[in-house]
Amino acid sequence: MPTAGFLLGLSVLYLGLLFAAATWADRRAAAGRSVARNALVYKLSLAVYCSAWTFYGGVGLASREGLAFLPIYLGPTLTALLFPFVLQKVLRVAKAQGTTSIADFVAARYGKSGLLAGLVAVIAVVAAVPYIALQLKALDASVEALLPAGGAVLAARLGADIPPLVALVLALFCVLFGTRTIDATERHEGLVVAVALESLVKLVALLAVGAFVTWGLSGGLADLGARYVAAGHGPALTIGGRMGYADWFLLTLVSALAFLVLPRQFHVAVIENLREDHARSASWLLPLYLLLISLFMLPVAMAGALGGRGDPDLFVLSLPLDAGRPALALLAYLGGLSASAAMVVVEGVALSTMVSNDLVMPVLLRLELLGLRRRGDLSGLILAVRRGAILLLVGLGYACSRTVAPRYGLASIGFVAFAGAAQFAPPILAGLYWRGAGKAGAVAGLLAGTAVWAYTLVFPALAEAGLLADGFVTRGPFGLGLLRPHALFGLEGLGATAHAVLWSLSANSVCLVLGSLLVRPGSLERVQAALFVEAEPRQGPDRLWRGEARVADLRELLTRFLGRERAEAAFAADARQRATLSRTLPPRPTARWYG
Amino acid sequence: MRGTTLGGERRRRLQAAIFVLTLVLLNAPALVVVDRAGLAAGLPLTPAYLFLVWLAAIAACALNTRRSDP
Repeated sequence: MPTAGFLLGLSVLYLGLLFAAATWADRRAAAGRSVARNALVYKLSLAVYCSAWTFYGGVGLASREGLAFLPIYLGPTLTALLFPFVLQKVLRVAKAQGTTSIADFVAARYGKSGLLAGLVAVIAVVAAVPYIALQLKALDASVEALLPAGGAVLAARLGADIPPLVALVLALFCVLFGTRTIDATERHEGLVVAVALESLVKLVALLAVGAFVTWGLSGGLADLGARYVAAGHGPALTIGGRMGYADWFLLTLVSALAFLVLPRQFHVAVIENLREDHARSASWLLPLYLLLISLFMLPVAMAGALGGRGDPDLFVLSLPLDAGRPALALLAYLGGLSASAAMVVVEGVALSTMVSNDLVMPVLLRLELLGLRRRGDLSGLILAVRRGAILLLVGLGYACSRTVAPRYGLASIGFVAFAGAAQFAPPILAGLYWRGAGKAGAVAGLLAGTAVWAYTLVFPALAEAGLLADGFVTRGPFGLGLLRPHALFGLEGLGATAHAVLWSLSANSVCLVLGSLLVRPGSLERVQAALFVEAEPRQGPDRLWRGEARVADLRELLTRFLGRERAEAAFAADARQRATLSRTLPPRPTARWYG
Repeated sequence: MRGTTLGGERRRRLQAAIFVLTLVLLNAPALVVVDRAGLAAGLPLTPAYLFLVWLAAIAACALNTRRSDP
């Protein structure tokens, strides 16, 4: 068993190494030798999808619900197969529009609507809270599993309980990683490299534990399967035995959509993307990663169930520990730490960007009392807002992990977040392929879908935690059985998640279509709709904007939001790029700048 | 130029076909046929089927992508 001090030192050392890797990558990028341009780095960074839910919760779900863990990986596989169609189009549009977040993207499509950007930012924050709670809960549990007695010693030595300390360390790590500077593109090459590294560590850790459990503790896959079936667990190895095929389809659907529109996925896949063609090869490499990382989940779950060992969410740790392999357990712990840290950091960066750009700064700039419009440099304020947003987000996640999350398995919490984030899919997909989709429809759809999601998944969770009266879950509000949140309008027979996904996405889509058909879009909306729907592969360095602006005005504007140093660096980089292009391409004026 | 465009179009159609076939094979009614509690060569039948389809989809996608790479 590791000691408390050793575990603490190992965690700090590991996070420090990641930070060093990120700093190194940032310096290389600044010197024009980008590491993040490597296609493999981009593909590995997409595996930020595999959070602590995958690392611990996947095995837990396999143990409790059999094959119900597979849709979480099959859904993104299906999405990845469509990368050449969907993601490449999103990349093309996002680059042309200068998108910095998913809120920005949705708002740009529907007439650059500030209202829509704010709405998306609020929904993204609300949906992310349970997901962050999941990471904190998993980390707390892993520390307690490794230090059954030493946890109290560590807490006494540090003068605080472990769970809030874990939350604080993760929040500070996120602030250090994601809000060191402000960049006009909102790209963080160092962060991407660190996330890619973490993806490798968690894959190696899960494969090592899985191989050990399968061939070291058992006589191989066939032996495990035979003993599991003989023990009467056969139905858990089928889909029909534990869940319906409709549940299977709906869980696959929500995972597929969430993979595209989770704020952190959108951030690494779109905002951090440096080359459009990386998406094409990711369409098979990412599914391969997902297959490998989920390969041993079922064997580990079977071995844990056969051994009758404690919490299924912690089989990845407890099986090596019980077998007297503390080194392997520590590797698994580092894998779990990687998965949690990567998720929290990227989610924190993505959400804090949205909170500052789409919620807080627009409001602050409108308040004449503050006089911000007259201030020359707002970069310090923007950084402070982002840091505050990260601390608030992790704080909310911590509160959720102490109140609601203890009653749920990791997977149940994760699905709540997935279903919430999936509400962005209808306006994004309709916005890319249906010219008639309008802002009124998008707003109505998002409001309706999110309301139904909250009613069918979030409120029942709060009721179960004792924060709301539970009568409305069992009998329906005011005794109206047709409005029971888990059997809305009498629809029974589905699991809670599948039921919520079906109703919320249906409400979202219907309102999107009706709102779009009933309300006539404005002129800017129609222009933006055409740009999104008819986006063609770019030939050369064209930009969609064809106006005129003075360099001095642009410099002053950029300095206000980025600070003088970053603004000058951005102009210098642009000048270098223009010089390179002018040597390689024939002149093709798209915008005129005046010095 | 025309050949490249036609090749690209064919690749896109193949990719769409891989997606549709994978979607069909991973869901009912195709799934109902193989969803049994038994073992095949010592391995649980349903998970073995799902992983096989998954692997085949990855291989097909990789071939389709790599063939078109310059």
